[in-house]
Amino acid sequence: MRDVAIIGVGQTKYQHRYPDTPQPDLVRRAAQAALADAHLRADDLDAVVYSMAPDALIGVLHAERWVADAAGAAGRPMLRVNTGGSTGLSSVQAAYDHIASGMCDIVLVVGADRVGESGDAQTILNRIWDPMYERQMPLNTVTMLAMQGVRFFEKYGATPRDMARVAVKNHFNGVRNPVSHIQKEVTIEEVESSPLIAYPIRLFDCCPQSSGGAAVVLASAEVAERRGEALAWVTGMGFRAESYWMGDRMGPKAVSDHAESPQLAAAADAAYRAAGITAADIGVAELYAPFTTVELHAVQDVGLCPPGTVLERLWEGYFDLDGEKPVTPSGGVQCANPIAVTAMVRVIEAALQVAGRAGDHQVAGVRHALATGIGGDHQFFGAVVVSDRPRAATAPPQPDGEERTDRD
Amino acid sequence: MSALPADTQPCLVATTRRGPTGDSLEESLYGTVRALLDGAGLGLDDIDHIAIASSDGLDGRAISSMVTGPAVGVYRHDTINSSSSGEHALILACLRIMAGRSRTVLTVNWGHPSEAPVDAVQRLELEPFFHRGLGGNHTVFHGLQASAYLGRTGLDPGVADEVLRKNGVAAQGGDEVVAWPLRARHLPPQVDGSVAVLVASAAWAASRGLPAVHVTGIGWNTSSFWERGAALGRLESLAAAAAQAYGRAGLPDPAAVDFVETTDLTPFHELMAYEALGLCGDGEAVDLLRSGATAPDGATPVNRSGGLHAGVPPFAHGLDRVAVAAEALLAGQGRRALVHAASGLAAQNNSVFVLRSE
Amino acid sequence: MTDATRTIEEKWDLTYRHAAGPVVSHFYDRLQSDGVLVGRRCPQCTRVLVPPRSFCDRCYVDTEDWIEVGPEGVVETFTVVYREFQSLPEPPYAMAYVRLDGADTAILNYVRGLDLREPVAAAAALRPGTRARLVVDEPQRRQGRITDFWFELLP
Repeated sequence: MRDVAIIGVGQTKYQHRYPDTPQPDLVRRAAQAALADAHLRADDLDAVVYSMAPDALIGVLHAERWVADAAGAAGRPMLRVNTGGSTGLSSVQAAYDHIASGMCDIVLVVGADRVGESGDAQTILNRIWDPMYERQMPLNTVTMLAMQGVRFFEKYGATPRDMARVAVKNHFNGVRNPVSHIQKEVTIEEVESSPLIAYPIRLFDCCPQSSGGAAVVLASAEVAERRGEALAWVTGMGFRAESYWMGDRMGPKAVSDHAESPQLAAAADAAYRAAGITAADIGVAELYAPFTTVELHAVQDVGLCPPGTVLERLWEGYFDLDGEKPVTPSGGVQCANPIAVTAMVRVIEAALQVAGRAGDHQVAGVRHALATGIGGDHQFFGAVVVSDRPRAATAPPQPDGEERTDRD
Repeated sequence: MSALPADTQPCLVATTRRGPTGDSLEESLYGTVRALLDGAGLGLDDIDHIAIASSDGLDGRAISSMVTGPAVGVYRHDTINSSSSGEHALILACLRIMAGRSRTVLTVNWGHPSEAPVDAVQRLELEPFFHRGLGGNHTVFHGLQASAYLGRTGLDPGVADEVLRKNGVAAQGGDEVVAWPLRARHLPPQVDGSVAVLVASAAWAASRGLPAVHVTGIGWNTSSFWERGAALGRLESLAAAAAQAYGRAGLPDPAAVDFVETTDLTPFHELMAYEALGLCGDGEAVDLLRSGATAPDGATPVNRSGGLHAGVPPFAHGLDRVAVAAEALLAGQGRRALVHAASGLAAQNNSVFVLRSE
Repeated sequence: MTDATRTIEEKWDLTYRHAAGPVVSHFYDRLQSDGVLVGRRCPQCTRVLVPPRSFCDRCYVDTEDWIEVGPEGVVETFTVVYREFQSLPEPPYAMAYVRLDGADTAILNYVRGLDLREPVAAAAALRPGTRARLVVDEPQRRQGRITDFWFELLP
């Protein structure tokens, strides 16, 4: 398998709306930023992967067609990936296969979202549920994860104050990330007195509705080495789906608990195995956590601390920017959620950390960084490990030349 | 671009195509995949990865893969979803096998237009500033495209009926003009259905002793959304996709394949495809048609299956064309085939697959 | 060029007619005509799935028997919503996944008859493990939709 490098990244500022920048222009701005970072022009691209989650959020069905020119894809191979919230991470995985297969040498992954223009994103996000039984109920991503949080409380003894501690950390980090949407530190008391949205989730536990674009340029080892400009190498990947039915993730016969996600753990394990590392080798994790309740379980699931220890470590500052295992130094989804690209931004931030280019939220000496994405109704879980050296230098050779994705 | 090891060449090893079932969308997808697995004597544990394609608007599910994915078996599996077109999921499946990351990838596409307000959905595919206010659906764009083709070639619109007669499909519509030059009988029927194709590495197929159709060439390309104009009458991105696929497959003369399946969105699109695929020169499609070369008993039969007029679910056109061709090859009806998939507004996206049986 | 950029308002209005298939149809038939909830058993993992599905996504096999479940059950998780979302009900409202007696999975619906003015008190009342009962609307008011029933907490 050919090694794949990240040779350029680009992000616009994330903000509620972009009234002066229509969708194609926003896509183009992100694409140009990543191409400029890689010192490339669109003519150098072999293919484009367009990253776009629910069509309804920007109000145009199959909008990948409209933005083909803006994405640099006219006259070139392009396809669109959509796995809900994990779309941006799945897009990077798809681009990896474009290159590792030998079909392409340079691939652009690009997308943009304008969640703030959608009227009320949670109205649209209600329409994601099955039309037979669940859509008539007021489900949306807030209530879905509020019910995850309640189960996490029961299983691990967490309280709303623990959630507030996560929010404080992420808001602190977000202020140190110039493209972050939310640029405001908060205190425990401010989180706890912010309006209650859906118990136990309060306003400052939530992600914002963000607009903005992001892009990544991936390249083959030959191109990256010839140019000498790899930010980071993609060394491991994993992706696993959970049952759609949240109600199946509870009760004595459930094999997964909606409190957390064994499938996130499986996806991260697959990525670590492919990279030839363990969770202990991860210097920084950019975890997809749109609500504080998700981060509480995600750090345990990806192995950054043993199950049941997250609350203790959280209050010790273990996951803080200057802690032992910094989690989401960018401020994360809680400080910017342009849904189409949110999970791609996790990969971008992981690559910036490995490259030593994360600026005020840089963590020193990161060799391996983990990025995750979550999509659907807490149902699609993806992981990408990026490293400061190619996969061949970190991972043991695969005996049969193929990496069977193990399942339990 | 490096040469590929032969054992990670993607192969098509099993297909299932089903029409309307009376079940819910999820149930009919489950039935299709269950039939594929049972027919091939496989279980979901044999499947490394599942690549699906879903259209949120057509499915009426805002993240369709959330509910359709589990119906095709993604539970505890590695999976991906393309929302640009069905054939793009097949391309992702092939790339993944070529990358050596999976040995088997299940690919599933579907369309249930009977459940959706299709015209209203297609109107929402138009961007809101310049096109949507004018209205329009796929048929209108196909009419514009057919009209541009006629303008370029000076052909008589009646040529469409010659294509339908050649394909041996009974006219399913009347003489009324729907969108000039398209008459009702030129439009393929809108049917519900689903298609599943199991893609595997050549090494895995050989180890299981399964008959395999090798995918020796893949190409996919995108036309500009804006700068089409007169170019609407030419499938430019198909020509580019074909060049990519032929180069990969080492296919100097596309007319030398045993048969071709194209996505004939209208009969005019079949003619445009002849030219873009290089089966004839520019503007010469009508001559090729009238020579009988593309007839079922001709030198290079095109759409021997009847094409889209045989009844193909929307958003599954491309995978259906590939499955039809694979089934014909597995049945010994030739050794090499060419498949053309089209999607997007006015066939903005085109893909080509070169297939070879053992 | 102008300094004042425009916005173009576009409303979506789409009506789908989703084919429900025989299993979903039977569930709503029984709910509407008899006021009971029924589930389907997976022959492989033996779970009784409520709401019922024609196949088990875990085992990927057809489900078989119909089993009547409830009318009592246990709250598995819940939330109480205090913010208004467009096109969703006026807050506050409580909803819960309740695993009905005889079922192995939980089904979502509103929990009514609870004072929701004090969030902490409401959350304590709804805590997972709390017993609840199924309440089905008056026969003439049933429409064969999920909103034909709800839950109330048992004293």
